[in-house]
Amino acid sequence: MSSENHSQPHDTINDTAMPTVVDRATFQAELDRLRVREKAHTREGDAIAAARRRLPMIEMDPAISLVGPHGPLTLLDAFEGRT
Amino acid sequence: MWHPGHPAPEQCEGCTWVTTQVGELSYLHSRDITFAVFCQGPYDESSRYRDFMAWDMPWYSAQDSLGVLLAPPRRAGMMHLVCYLREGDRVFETYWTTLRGVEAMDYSYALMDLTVYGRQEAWEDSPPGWPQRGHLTRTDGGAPDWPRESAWPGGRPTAQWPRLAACRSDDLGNRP
Repeated sequence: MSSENHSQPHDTINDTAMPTVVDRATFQAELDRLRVREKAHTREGDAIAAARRRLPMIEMDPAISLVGPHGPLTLLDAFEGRT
Repeated sequence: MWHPGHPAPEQCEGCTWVTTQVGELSYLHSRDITFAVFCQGPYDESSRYRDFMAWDMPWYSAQDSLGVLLAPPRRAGMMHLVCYLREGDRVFETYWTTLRGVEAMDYSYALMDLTVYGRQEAWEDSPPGWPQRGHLTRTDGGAPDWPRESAWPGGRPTAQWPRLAACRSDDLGNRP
């Protein structure tokens, strides 16, 4: 039983269902339909990111303490000089 | 999340999954963005985990500051992505996310989603007969079999196996 379980993932792959085989034109027509949704998803992601850039913010205490390889440091230090 | 006092195999498979995929930082740096891990556990044992995993991103312990860094509605113990802005010596929090929001760090799921069987996880909407192996990102062994995963604390986070195969020490120095 345990050996069956052990090998199951690969056996499952070999025995598993597969997509229907079609000619390239049929395949491309289906992919083109999916692409319309993918493009809409991409544009919605862009719109969400645009809204994220318009969020307000909260001021933090820059002295919040962390511990690093050289001992204590602050949240401000963790920026390594970047913004 | 970090499990204080626990050995490497018992550390979080989800945090390990996404963290191990953040390798190249120069693109972030070129836009003046810093990436760092604020581990919720102690520095000494967690940085040894970082070394075992051969990660090289900046690594800090935020254990003593979780109350302010993860103030409600965030919850310490959960992995979060948090974004800050620095202006001179002032610091602002501009964004945070958790749960599947941390998939922003991951490319494996994004690539799996392009393949015919997807992530092979039980929750996915797949045709009948498609393989669905579970959902945990830990396995009971490494290549070539990657035997069926077990629930925490069984097995190990998947990415630990190639490190062990490369003879890296997983001793976190936190066991008696």
